[in-house]
Amino acid sequence: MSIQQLFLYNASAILLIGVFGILTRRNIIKILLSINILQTGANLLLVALGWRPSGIAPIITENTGHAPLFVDPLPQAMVLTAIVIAFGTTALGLVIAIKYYMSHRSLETSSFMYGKTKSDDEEVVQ
Amino acid sequence: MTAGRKMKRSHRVLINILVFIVLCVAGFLVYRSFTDTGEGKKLLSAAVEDRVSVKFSEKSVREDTGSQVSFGTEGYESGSANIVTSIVVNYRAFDTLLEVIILFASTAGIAMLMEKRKRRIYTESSQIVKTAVPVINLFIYVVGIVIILRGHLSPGGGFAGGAVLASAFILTSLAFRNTGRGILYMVLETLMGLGILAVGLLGIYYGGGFLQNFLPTGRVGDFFSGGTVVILYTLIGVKVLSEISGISGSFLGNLKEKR
Amino acid sequence: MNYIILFLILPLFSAFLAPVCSIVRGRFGKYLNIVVYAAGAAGGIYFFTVSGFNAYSVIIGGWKPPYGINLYLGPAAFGFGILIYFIAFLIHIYDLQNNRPAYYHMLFALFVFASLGMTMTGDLFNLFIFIEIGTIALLGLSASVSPGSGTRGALKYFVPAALVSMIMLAGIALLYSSLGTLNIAHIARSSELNGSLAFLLGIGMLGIFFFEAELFPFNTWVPDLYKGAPSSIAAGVAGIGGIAGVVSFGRVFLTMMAGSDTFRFARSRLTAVVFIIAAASIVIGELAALKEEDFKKVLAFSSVSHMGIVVLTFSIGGSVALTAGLFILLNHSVVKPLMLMTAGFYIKTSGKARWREMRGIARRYPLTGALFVVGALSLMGMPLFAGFWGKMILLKSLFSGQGSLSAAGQQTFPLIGAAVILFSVILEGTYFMRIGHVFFEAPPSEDIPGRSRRLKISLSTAAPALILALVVVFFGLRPGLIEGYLSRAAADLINTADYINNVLVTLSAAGGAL
Repeated sequence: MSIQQLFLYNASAILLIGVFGILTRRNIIKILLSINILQTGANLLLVALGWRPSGIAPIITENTGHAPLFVDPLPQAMVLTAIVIAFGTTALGLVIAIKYYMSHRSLETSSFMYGKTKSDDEEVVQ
Repeated sequence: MTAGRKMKRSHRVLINILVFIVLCVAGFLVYRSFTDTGEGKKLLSAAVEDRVSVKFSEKSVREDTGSQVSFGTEGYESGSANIVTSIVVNYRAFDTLLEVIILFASTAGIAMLMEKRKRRIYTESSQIVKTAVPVINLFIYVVGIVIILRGHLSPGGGFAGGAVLASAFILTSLAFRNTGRGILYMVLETLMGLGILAVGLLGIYYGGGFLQNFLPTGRVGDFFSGGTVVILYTLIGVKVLSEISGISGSFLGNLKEKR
Repeated sequence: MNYIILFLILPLFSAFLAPVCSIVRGRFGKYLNIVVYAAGAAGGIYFFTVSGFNAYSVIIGGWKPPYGINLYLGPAAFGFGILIYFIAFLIHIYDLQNNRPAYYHMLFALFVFASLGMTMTGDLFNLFIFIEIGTIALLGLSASVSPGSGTRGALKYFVPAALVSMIMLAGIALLYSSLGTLNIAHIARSSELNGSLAFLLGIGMLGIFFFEAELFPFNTWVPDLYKGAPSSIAAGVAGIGGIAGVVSFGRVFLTMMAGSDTFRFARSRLTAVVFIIAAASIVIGELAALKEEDFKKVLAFSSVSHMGIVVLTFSIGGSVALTAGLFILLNHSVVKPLMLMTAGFYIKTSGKARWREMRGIARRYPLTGALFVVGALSLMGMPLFAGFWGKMILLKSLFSGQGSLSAAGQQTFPLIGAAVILFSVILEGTYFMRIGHVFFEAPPSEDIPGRSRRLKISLSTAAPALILALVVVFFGLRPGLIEGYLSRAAADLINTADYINNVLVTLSAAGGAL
């Protein structure tokens, strides 16, 4: 199989692992890690789809000569943005997990008591 | 202390079965889309030559250059040698503005949620760390600034350079237990953000479109090529630096020990 | 006319200036936001009337689409954009009574910016980024006040949001590799996609809109977020988030998928999926609201069901049904913030979260009780209120059986839809009247809620709710004023050929907006 197909299979495997982790894990930190794996898989899929046989990196230098054959630069620009988005959401997710732990004293998604006695259902939020 | 509500066993089994069914259906759909032999375009059927990005590679969005872009030539519509940079900062600059806003929003959210953190106990760094960190920081600064400034000539740019520079700040705050005032980072971020908006509005004033390039585009390969690319990437670099430093400062609890 | 982009960019100024303003002078940041929203609404009205109801395609960066990014300011985006500014303005005035930190105002301004962008953008990847900005801003805002249910609501929003948004990104990647472009108009003009590929990509990209629009399989976040977030944030999600989700869903589903040839081979299957999910949301939303004890969660489930009604009209197709759907959306976006403001006030004065424990509270605060009843009647669809006209036009178009998008089942789908909507009206009437009854009941004299905490209702709390109720009654009495405009907005979403022509126009060499 060509190198592009190898990368595509790899990216789909990573995507599947991420989805599996999100759906079956109960610890919040593990869910956040799976989200991160899923985002990495999506980024890899994007870059792999931009490949071109005998293409070079899309930078014009003295050695590129006339009419060079570049790989697709647009997925690379999209991946730049997607990596930053993944960073932002992961950081915020971790902070929310910290606050969740500070009040619920547990990182399991099934815990529903916060503080010592109050239940989430009875909390009054104005 | 904590009370977990354990799901009933039958509920858990039911949800597992449902998830399995959904994944099977999804897998079946993916398989079908690979092997369907009906009419219409298949997956991966747009070769790179048929995509929109071929005009970006040849710098021929406005007028045709006939795929003759080469080093050292003047007068292209976007002069930067790194084509990915020209997409990120010139052709699709709006996406970059939004990406910067994402970082801004997440920094603000983290700062707001981490305000009342308890003081944590750290062990004091050893003498080796305290002596080595300033020297290492010097190298990091040089590399980071070069990456930011040469974003249009080689891989790199504002995001990568800003992250590298932020690692210097994080090193310092970890070694000396002093994160700097969080407000300072916020003010820096805000000023850079307003600067980017100002460049965008100047684009309307001089050129006609928001974030349009209004400076001359020079020769491909020069430092002063690409117009507003260098300005925007510098602003973005400093913004990313202050954002990441602000986030790490919030996580570390806004320490303010003197050296 | 190039400065028309300020209609979108205006909240950014307030977002960037709010932290600095708070350093300089106390809580100045919150007043800045109010000025910005009012300016945005006024500016929008001005631009809209000047442009004469035509669609505007704003080029960004001077590069013509599909190579550059464009914003599409048609009647749908303009009108609902002005509505978003208006609702944000009123929510902010309501929020003045609480002392929120400066970052809160900044994040709210960014949420408004993201919602505006979602309704206007013409590029798929740009839409993805706007959705992500909205997600991050909402996460920060909803976890800001309550440590227990607030963080739970935020996490329940975050995990599915990350999952579906990455599925959307994978879908965009595969779509780009098959068609070679990211621009919505250019995609709508491309040649046809293979049937199963089109179905896969359609499902992938619609998933996140089902999530944003609070529809059935993805609605687990709605009750917990409404309960855990402060009432003004819940009002923002219901009003502003709902508008953004539905209008962008309309753009992607109606203009790009249903109206064009690109997704032709999967069109009936995708429409059927949307119909099933919408009908399921209506039924399940109403049933869940019937047995719910917490006040804000009842309103959340009612939101789920109403969004289901609106999306149902999208799948039925035809401009009459779509006009009705947009009317229902307008009604919901005005009424739900009104009811959430009332709920916030009642929760603050009585200190209780369940509606059964708030007996007789409307006798103590009759004005807010009356406003709550106005909102409930409009949601149910009583005559004299705005909700009536939407539901009536919808039922009329369903029973006359015209304009169904699906080829097969020409008669059965609209009849099922009508049955489901009538079912929802009955259930909604039941639980809202039950709540109203409990509120207005004379309580035993020992336990009047709020006796120890008698709060005088301040002008800034009551005025926004009052204004929203007046808007609802006004449009209930004079629907003709808004109906013509809404049918134009519906035509904007359905008419793919016009959209393509407006966007992909050749420009002079200088670039710039049309």
